[in-house]
Amino acid sequence: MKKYLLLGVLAVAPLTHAATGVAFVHGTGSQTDALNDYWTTDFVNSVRQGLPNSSKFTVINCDFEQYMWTDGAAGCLAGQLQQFIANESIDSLTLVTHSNGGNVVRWILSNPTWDARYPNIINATDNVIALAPSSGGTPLADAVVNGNAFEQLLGWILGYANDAVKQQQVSWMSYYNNTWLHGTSGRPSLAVNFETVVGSDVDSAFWDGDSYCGGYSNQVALETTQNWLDSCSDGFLNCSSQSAAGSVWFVDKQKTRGREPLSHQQSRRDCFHLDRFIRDRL
Amino acid sequence: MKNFKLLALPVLTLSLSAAAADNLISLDPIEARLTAGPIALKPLPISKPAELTAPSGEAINQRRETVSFITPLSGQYHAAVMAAEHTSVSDEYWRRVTGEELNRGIGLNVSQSGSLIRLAARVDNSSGAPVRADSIAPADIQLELPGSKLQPQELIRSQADSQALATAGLADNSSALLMSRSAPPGQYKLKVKSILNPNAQYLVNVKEKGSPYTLSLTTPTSLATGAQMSFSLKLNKTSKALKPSAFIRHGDGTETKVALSSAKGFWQANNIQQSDEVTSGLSELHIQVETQVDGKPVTRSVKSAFKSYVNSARLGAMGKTQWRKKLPETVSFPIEVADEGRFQLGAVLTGIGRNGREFQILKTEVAGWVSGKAQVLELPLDAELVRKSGLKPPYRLRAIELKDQGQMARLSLSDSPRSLR
Repeated sequence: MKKYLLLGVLAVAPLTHAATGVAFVHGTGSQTDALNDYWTTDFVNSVRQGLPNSSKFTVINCDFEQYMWTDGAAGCLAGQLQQFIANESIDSLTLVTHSNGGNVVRWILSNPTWDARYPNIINATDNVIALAPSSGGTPLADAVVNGNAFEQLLGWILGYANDAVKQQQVSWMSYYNNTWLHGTSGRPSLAVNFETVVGSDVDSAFWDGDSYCGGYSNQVALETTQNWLDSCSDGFLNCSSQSAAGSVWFVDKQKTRGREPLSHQQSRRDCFHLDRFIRDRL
Repeated sequence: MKNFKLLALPVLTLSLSAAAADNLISLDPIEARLTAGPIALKPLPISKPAELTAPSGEAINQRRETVSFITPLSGQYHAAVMAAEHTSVSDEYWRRVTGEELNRGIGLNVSQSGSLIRLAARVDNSSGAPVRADSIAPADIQLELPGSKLQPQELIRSQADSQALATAGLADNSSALLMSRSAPPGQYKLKVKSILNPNAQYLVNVKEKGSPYTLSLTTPTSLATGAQMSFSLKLNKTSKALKPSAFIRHGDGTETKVALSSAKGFWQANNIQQSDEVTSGLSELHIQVETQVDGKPVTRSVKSAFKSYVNSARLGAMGKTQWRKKLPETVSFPIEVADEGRFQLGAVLTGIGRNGREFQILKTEVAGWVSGKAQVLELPLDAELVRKSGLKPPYRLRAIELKDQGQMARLSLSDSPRSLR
């Protein structure tokens, strides 16, 4: 169907060239320079080498402290993707997401009638590579949000109890998965391939150089937070949450160099050849 | 994946026209069980008010444009399992305390060795201005087990301060103590040495990872205003009658204490004071249980989220189908609304295969602004996809779902087949 439509477009606009592109979609947080502050140039530059034309990439900067469906979150993402698709004539888009970015993308893919911009984005998207997506929420979000009524009213002041954190509480994600989001068990499938990379452990041995990829102090803290999580977790998300939607591409140790686990910090860095696996997947 | 492409229909096909009110029928939500819940013996009783009510406040989605979308499907049709309930399982508890209480020392029930204790500084706005409590350094926290020969330092295995926890996602000004594996279950005393603001608010969170004493709470995933809130509650390893306390945290962050009663194996929350106001957030039922099991003091907190909504619209009986060369192109449904708003209708179209079985052809969705009391939503069907499927009539609609995008609520979902005519 798509090829048929493209022929029609070429007939009237022969100078238009379709292209393959990749967009990097960050996780929870309000980003203005996600390339440097969330991803790294090393990671992004490595991944985009897998494109036929490595200039066809974009790094999304949106406010993912808001609920996924808001104008600041999915609305902003839709605007930036729409512009990228139009400006670069993208007809085959891969979205590389991390953490809660997977939920915002799943919102768009699952709710095409919410916003008139969504259908074209869905049609241009071929694949989502979801790095450690928080598809089933995290008990850590519950731990952060549990508080008194007064501060619930002050989430915007406190910062930590932002709407995106609330949304990622386990029972909240259960509601969204069962009502508004596709791709989890028993729910309609996502029409776009949504393949996940699952982080299964945190390694923080100070004598092991691998513990320093992504920052050593982060690794130590993630080991503490594992007390709220299952034995299989990346320090922020249970493996069951990361694999709740779509299909599992691989669990870290199945592919990583030296069978190293990918903590939640490391799954957005060029640690243990993760960047190469994604590059080869484009 | 390419051959599973979606068809966007930018030409909007939702139409609005008058519909006879006496054609309206009620579509009951599918009642299905959640996957293997520990206390899932029978479905929770579900009630829904018959009358329509308009939500108040600002709608979440106020877009006026009509958008429709068709997703090609293939394979035999199987009804999706829609969970109407959610089960939360807790091996932890949390309590609110003041700085004065922490300086004086608080009793802390611990039923599991190697538990984790977290102290989080909170904010108090009761005076009208937010007062943020200071974080507590782990070194200032003392833990004692009265009557035990164990020294306080022997009770603690490791500590983490607020900066360390923040880097891992627990960015709420909290500190944590991991108890040693030799620290036995019992009633401990927790005290903070540094002088705290007496009125400052703190959260004490005791996480007993791996404890057999889990508290399970099963609630409906959504609750219409005016409906009864029934839920199930069970503490593992005990058959004792529980005396839980409860409150509802509403979508706007306010809280209401609720009275609980039990009958026929279910609990019921009374006077939950649902509002007609649209809120972006979900509501939560919070339950606290304190009891003794096998001579150990067990305290548990558990919560579960649900969508609070008003019954703002309903679909009528399926209307006429537009045909082209004996293939269906569109089908209409009357919709009755309490007030104007943005509504979404979706369904799966099926046909009959050579083996006489029902196969799916496509999923169709449409959303648009509906105003007036009786209108029609029109679903596009794509005759070409139907022809290519090779499937034969009767063509049926399945999984007919009505949503209110203004409230972000599912109003109805029916899997009863409706043959196109």
